[in-house]
Amino acid sequence: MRLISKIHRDAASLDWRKPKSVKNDIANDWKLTSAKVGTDEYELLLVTSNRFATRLRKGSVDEPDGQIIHVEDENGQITEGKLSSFIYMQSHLVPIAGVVLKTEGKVAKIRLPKGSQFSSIASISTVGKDSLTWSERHKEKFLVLALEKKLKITTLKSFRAIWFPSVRATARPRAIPEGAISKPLNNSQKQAVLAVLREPLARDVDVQIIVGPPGSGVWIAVTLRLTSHNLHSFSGKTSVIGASVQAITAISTSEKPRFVWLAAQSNVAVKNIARK
Amino acid sequence: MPSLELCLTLPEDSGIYFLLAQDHPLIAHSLTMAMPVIDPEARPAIFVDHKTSFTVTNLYAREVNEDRLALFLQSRGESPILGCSTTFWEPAEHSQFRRKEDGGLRLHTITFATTKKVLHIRMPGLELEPAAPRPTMEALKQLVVLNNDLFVVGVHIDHAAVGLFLDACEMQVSNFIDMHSLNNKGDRRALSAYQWLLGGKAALHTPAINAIFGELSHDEMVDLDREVARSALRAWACCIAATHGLAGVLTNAARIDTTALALNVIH
Repeated sequence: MRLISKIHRDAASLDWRKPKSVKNDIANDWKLTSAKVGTDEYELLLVTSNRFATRLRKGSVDEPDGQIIHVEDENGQITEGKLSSFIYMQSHLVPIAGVVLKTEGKVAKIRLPKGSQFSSIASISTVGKDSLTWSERHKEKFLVLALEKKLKITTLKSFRAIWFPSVRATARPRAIPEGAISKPLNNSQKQAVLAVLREPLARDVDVQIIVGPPGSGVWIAVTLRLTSHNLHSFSGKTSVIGASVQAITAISTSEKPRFVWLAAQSNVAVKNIARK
Repeated sequence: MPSLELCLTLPEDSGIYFLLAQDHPLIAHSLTMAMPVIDPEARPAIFVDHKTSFTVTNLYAREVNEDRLALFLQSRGESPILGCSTTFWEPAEHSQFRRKEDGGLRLHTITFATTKKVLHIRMPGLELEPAAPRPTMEALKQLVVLNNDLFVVGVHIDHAAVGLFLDACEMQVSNFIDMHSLNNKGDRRALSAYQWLLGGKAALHTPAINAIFGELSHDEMVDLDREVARSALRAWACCIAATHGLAGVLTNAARIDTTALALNVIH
């Protein structure tokens, strides 16, 4: 119960602390045009986010808890209005009615009231808490199931491997294949890679959590050379993830193939890791 | 001690509630607690078929006793159903009340509702030193949260169960029912899910549902008083919906029973 409570409260705290304002970095090539659907006339603001992580997200005129958008504009010429998502002149706090109608990747179409005019946009901020990620939603559901005793969470091998590593049976260590990694690892990186490569006991699950501050070489800037297959060659520093993937690939055989499943909190993160 | 009553009014644009204090000998006390009771003429219409009509009692945790709870529970008549809702708060970053172990978030109020009455219980907070002993609320345990003759229903009631455990002397519960688990589909926080659980769009005044159950906007999120006012309406709405639409399925519904979970044991 203490464990479930701890996980539950941590999740609630993270949700509580979600930033209530995110600055959206917008490209200069925004466009404002008039639009008409039936008798409904409005202005359409087309903006492109420079960064995927801070892109604008779709709102809805039917959802009163939609995120609010502030526009920072040196001229302060935006007229007033009100909808479920708003665009404000940040310097003057004069709101105009705007809602993100549609997003396509980094491009967002924002509906503004007819007659809205302005000459420049310095930046746009999204105000309001972001909705739960899929991961957070599933965590929420699992915790309720655990509290309802529909799920015996402490008997799950993966759960125990993470939360009770001390009760895990010792797994068989495996050496890093000679020549698999082109650049030397430091001691802590080597320890981490060995832990990843460790052969779990039969019917057991082994989970390693590798944590390091920025620059410690956990996952970024990979330098690997697949000496056995020579498929890739990168320049840069050595990383634990990269070295682990390389070593796993090196010990893979046709009789006993090894696979790497890569999961991250976003598609972009997966892509970044895969590239490296 | 008499129950404490304030009134809750609905402004023109709906969804935003302000507290108006009525004359009462304990009005200063009530303002400190910042909790609402309801002016019958000012309550938002939630259900098409049921007038939003109930009275509210506010108590500090230390004031909870058998007599007060019995008085509250009388209002349920023969019904075994109570609605439940919670509010949380987080002390400021460097506050002495902030706890390292759980990030500081803690239970602020827990609200129980029958179809006629709402009971707000405010958890110990700034009025108690962090190291001071907390009230154990034995009466609440015995008469409400461990009373297996009752069904305590609510949305996100897992937060109430965990909040009582972490912030009320590891209080355990045995009869909480998560309404979302009765309809285990889709996003638990979607407004459409709340509408379904409360009887469907046709039975509801949906703007009020959205205002009461939806996420608060940026400025409103820091207003605990408003959140406590919404909590009363959430608990009452859950009680009404469960009483009139879900009573048949509650008997076989999965209960959150934290007494059945080992405190600190690895199975």
